Amino acid sequence: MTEERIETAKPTRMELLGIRRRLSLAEKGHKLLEDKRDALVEKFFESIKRRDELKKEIDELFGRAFEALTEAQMVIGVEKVKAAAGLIEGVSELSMYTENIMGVRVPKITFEKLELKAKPLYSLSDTCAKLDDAFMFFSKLLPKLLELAEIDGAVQSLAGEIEKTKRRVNVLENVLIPKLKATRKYIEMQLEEREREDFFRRKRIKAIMERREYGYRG
Amino acid sequence: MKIAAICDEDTAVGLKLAGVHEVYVPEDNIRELFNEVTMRDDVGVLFVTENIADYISREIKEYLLQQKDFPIVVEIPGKEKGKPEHMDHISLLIKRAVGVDIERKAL
Repeated sequence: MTEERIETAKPTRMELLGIRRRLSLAEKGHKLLEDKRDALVEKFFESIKRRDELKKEIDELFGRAFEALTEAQMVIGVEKVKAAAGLIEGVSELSMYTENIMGVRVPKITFEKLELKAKPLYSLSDTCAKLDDAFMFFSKLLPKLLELAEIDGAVQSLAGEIEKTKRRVNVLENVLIPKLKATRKYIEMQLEEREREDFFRRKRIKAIMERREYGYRG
Repeated sequence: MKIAAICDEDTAVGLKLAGVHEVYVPEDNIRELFNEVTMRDDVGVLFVTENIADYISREIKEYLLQQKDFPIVVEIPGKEKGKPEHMDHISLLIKRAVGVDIERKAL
């Protein structure tokens, strides 16, 4: 890889000091971002694990709920089940807010009184026990689904933030820091070269002067 | 905020029983429906069944790219069991962020 340096940097001592400062800042930032990335990834894996568990539970519960629902439909008819379902009062409204964890917006859902409000409102004489079962299963399902929603939201914003942080770490690691290092090296070498030239020039001048002095005398 | 769902008819009955506020059964206007619901700001969570999600996967991807906080779009298994190789969008996102498909490895 050819090392690129910052073209606008002039080989002066002032510039060298500036570059050194920038380099130490970039390295500090790089370390911080790396730590942030690691922390985010850790949290990410935690969320994914919980999500996998939840998904399995939901799949199973869904299967059982649909079994009960189908049975209810067989006993009292599709239309009646539909009508009964229409009578269910919705759960209380959710209150949602976002929490800020390390610059990541994580949604939180609070669903108090979820169970209380979801009471069967259909008539008992018109329906069957299977419908009650289905109702129970689906009511149990809803909190789990909401939890899944919460985790999905968190995973989504975490993934975005991880990608962003990764990109920043990579830019620092592969572009900015090598560039600064190359520039520092370039300036240092230029300065040394100039010093050597200067040193040589002074020697020459001294020699010439000495020769002249002796020449006049001699 | 409200809970909404876009799903097939049987799932709709089930979700109604669970107390979901608004359940839509799309006919052939899935895309418009999805866009309309995601534009609203009184909907907190939107459930979409896998079959429908497959059908409008492009819209869902675009929606996820907007990085909006609400509503959260969640894919749920519908009444018809989805294909086993079905990947929901969050799993795809996970795969892209981490680089490997850890979900499968963990199983």
